Amino acid sequence: MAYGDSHRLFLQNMLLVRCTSQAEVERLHAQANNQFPDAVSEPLDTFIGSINGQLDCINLELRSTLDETAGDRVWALVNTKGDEIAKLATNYSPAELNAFKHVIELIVNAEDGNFSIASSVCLNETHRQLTSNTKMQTQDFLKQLVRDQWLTVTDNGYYVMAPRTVLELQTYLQDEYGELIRPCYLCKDIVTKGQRCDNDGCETVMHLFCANRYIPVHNNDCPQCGQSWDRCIEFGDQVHSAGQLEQSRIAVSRSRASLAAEASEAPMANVKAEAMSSDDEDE
Amino acid sequence: MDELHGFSASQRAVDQVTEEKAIELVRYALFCEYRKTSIKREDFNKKLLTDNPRGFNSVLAKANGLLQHIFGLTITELPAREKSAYSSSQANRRVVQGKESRTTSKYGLVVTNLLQPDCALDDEPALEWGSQLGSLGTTATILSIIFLNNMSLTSEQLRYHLLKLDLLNGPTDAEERVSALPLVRQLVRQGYLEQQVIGHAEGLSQAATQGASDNPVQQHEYRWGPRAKVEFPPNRMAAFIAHITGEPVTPSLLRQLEQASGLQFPTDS
Repeated sequence: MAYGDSHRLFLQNMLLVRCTSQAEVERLHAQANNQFPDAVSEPLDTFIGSINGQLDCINLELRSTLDETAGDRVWALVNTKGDEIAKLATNYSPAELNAFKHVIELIVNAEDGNFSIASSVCLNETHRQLTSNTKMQTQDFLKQLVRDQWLTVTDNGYYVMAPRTVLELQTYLQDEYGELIRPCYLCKDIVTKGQRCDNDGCETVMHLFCANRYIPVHNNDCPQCGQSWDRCIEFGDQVHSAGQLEQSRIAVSRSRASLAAEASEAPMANVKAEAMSSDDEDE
Repeated sequence: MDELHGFSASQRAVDQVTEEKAIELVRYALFCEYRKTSIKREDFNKKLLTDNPRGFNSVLAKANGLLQHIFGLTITELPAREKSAYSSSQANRRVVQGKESRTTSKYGLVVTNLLQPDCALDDEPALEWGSQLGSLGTTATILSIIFLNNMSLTSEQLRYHLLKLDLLNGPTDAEERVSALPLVRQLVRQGYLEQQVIGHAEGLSQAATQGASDNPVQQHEYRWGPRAKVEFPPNRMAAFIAHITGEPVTPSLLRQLEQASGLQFPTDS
């Protein structure tokens, strides 16, 4: 079918929503066909294929991935070229972009490869990057990143990368963090929450929903090294308990308290030093 | 024959460069629109058309072809600024005219929609504005008030309407100068509102000879900015006002709106 106004309307809506669910994409597809009823309607995958055929020359693409938490398909209009012009495609300031990069770095380098950081740590670390901000402004900035679908806050209080980040920053993440970013054995998308093979020499990782589909019908073994998948290790935000978050909050408040104590002791130390030196002089 | 081949090869090279620059302009235009900033010819020339800054028009034509084909959008030139309704005195005229001549080059281009979906205003909307719907509604409402006030409001009139619409953010905003309110600053920055100094609080006839914008008693006039004129042609604004008031768009309503705004509606409405 020829490329027409129903494709254009769908694309205009994707420019507005940027990242949305499969159900919403299906609704927008039906709506585009309703608004321009003269056109013969295409099935969704062909329809999106036609649009991507047009978008290719301007380095944009409609891309999808599975939401690692819910397992639902998510679609986004992504920029595939990191040129000077692409820097305009954001309402964030350069300092905020650097702070966001720092948050991503912390998430990717999280302990035990869990791709998540406690909200209190995230707030403190981001605040250190945005020195001119008040704590409240930094908090608002993090909320904005969540509203813009770059980050997600999990029920247990951890910041993780949202599907939009995984989709739009795929190339950046792979280039920047190399081996820390591994694709799912089954669907080939980046995995930040899933299961990995217990064998040290084996690099197999899978999303939880991919493993649930694949492993039971393949003798419960790792598809690469053959080791039993019963011994696989879970990773991602789901491994954290609410108690761990509480512990990290306690650790942050303790470190803050010890810093404050050091600061208040410093003048006393000077007084003591002065007193000691005057004693020496007296002697 | 060789010369002919040489000419066509160089022509192909020129076409290829134009094509590449047109793609960059399409991306630049889409990203500017995402941030609601206008496309500045000078910026594009400086950043991306350094080799041939005079080639902008051919690049623009090509970019428009791509934008129309892929998105049903087009790049439109923003209209120039109008004179202030309050610029009656010689001094004011000088101030306003001086500003016009200095700022003409800053008028840019914006992306506008060419699609005409098969829907009435009350039906299912064709575009999903999502979280932007609220700010779009606020913008259209403020523009409609200016529209119904002969296309102009003073700072204090605008403050009164913002207060009535519950758009002032508590006592902090109530004390703040209108020109410093975040909402007003954003609308001015995006090109929806145009703000001109018209005098001081003790008398609007006083000329604005001092440009100190932080003067707390300085008065401004607010008119439709260039983006508003492009995005809300009179007929669309009439449909918006009719929708808000629950009135049908009748010739009598259009006549009343013409009188209130001082604008002439296209006859085919």
